[in-house]
Amino acid sequence: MSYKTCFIILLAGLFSLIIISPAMGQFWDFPPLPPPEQYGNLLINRVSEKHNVKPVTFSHWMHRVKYTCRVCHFELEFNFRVNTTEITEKANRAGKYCGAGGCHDGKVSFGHENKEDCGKCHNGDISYGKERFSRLSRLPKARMGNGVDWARAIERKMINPVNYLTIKLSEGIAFDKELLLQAEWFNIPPAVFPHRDHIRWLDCNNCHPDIFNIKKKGTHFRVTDMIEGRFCGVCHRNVAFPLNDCKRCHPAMRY
Amino acid sequence: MRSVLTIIFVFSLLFYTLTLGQGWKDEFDDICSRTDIAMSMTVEELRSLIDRCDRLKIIIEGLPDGTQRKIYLKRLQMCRGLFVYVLKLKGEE
Repeated sequence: MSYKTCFIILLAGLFSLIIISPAMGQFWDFPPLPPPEQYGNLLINRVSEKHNVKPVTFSHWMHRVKYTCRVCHFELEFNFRVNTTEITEKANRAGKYCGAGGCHDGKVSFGHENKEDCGKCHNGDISYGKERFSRLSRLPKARMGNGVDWARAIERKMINPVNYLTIKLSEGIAFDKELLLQAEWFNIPPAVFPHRDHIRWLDCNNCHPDIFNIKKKGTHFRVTDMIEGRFCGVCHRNVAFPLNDCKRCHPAMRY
Repeated sequence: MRSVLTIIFVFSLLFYTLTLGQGWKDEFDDICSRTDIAMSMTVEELRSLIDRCDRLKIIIEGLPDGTQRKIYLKRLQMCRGLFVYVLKLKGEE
């Protein structure tokens, strides 16, 4: 084999690598993924340590089996960004936030009455409750995140999370349009956004207009924007299935 | 006759005040329960909801409880923001 042939083969190989790598998701600097039982767990420490109390561990997978995102992030007014909601013991005891009726009110679930219950939240342990994670083993599998396909789980009625506490949804037909989002790079197939899978969990105003706004219709948002926690990354960075799972959004991607 | 009218007026005012105590919550629930069907509403329905949000905002701003006021104002803002968003979307269509 001549040097020229070898050089051409090497060049072709390098070119292929450049083309294929983004499609394999290896091009992006995604945040490291924790173990499945920790994925979506948060440490809430807005004022806890300032008051000499351990931070609160909040587990999304424990709660989303029972309640949709809408309940907490619309009705109970928890912000998407951690440590920005002004949760206090006083507010909780007054029936707001975690202490809302139907939640940690001391009747449906433990509240603030018994001191021995404090450690169930204020433990500062990101892996708290992992021994109960095996209960999710019956649910449809996913490659990443919690290892659970939550969209299929709710679609197949394997879970039936409560969708409202006080603001019952109307009986009309909800918006379920599917959007095709063209990728900037020629070698990346388009992303498919299904409204239907999202409205099973969220309220329309969770995304519109704060995250996705008509005034910026046609805005190009990139994977880098999402990695920084904007647009889809508000949820899909560390709570909903992770950005690393490219095929979930780009189903035509081959790898 | 005058005293009877006065009594009726006072009781009416009292009744109105008492019902207003929780009436705003029913109004809030009614407005914000329609967010999921906003896309299927007409422009007039959306404008009506936005007006109702603006009127309700004044009532909520007058609430004494700081946390409750803050939470409901934010939630109302989210509902109103969605209705305005959908109204603009329909305008562009």
